[in-house]
Amino acid sequence: MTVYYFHGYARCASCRKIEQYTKEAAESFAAGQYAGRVAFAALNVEEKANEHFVKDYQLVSKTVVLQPEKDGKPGAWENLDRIWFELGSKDKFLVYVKEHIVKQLEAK
Amino acid sequence: MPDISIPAVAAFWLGLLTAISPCPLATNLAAVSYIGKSLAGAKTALWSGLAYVAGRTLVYAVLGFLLVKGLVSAPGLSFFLQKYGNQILGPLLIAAGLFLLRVIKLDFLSFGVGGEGKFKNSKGIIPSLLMGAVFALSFCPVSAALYFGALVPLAAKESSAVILPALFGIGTGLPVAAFAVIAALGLQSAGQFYHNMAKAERIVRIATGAVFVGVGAWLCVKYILPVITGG
Repeated sequence: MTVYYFHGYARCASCRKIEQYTKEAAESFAAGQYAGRVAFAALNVEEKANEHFVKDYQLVSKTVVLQPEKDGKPGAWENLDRIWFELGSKDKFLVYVKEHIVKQLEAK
Repeated sequence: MPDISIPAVAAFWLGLLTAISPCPLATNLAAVSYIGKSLAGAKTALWSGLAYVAGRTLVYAVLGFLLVKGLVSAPGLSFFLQKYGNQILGPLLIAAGLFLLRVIKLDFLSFGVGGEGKFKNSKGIIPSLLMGAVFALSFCPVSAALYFGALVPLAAKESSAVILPALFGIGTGLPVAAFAVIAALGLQSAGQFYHNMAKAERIVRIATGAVFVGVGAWLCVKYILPVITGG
């Protein structure tokens, strides 16, 4: 699956934090039972080539989207829209993102 | 934390969260300095502050109506306002700041009707209302996530196209108005202390102008420069 972090040209302190924490959460799956199944990508949706993601994922702001794959095809995506509320604590943020990644990976 | 299972409380709470989040800090600072600069006293600042809240409330209520009724799409509108709202706001604030500093003089505005006097008699109510509306339109990531991502879905679920977005607007503006009234109270006593209202008024006007130019320049660096330099 791909863990996307979507942003624009203008970056803010909270947005950089979200990107950094999300990357950390995704990379924590590099070893262990899910090794090789989680990729992280940070994309600027204000760039022409990435504009379609706004419509594809119904984005309204900088956010994290989980895009699982099933049999080589993209499955039902999930927008982790609570990231802005979990940002106060890094531990809580990591737990929130990791829990959802595992849930998606385990989904039949 | 308040009981956010009550939609009205949740909407107001989301507005408060927006107001105290770091990203609208720059525009909040400009608003407090403009509304609070009144040396005529806290009462004038209160009216001006309420006008600012009304401006914000109006914008969020209108956008809420359009979004909940499905007349515009949230993703398109959100990214459009986040991008262009701030790009326009930077130069606009610099211009308003230069106007306050009397670097630019808009004499043509006073043509025939004694505009300056009229402007003063309104006690800053109309400019504050407009400022509230314009600032509300310049979304940043946090406010966009809270408004488009949390408030609008809540308003849609509750079939409240106007009331809940309006409560959100009140929440975003009230802290600013409160700080402005406190600032005005402080300035009033400082003005009395110096026994020289004309001089105090000039200093406060220049300080407000400087804040506007500073905030405008910061917004330009943040929202226009990365687009020019490609990130």
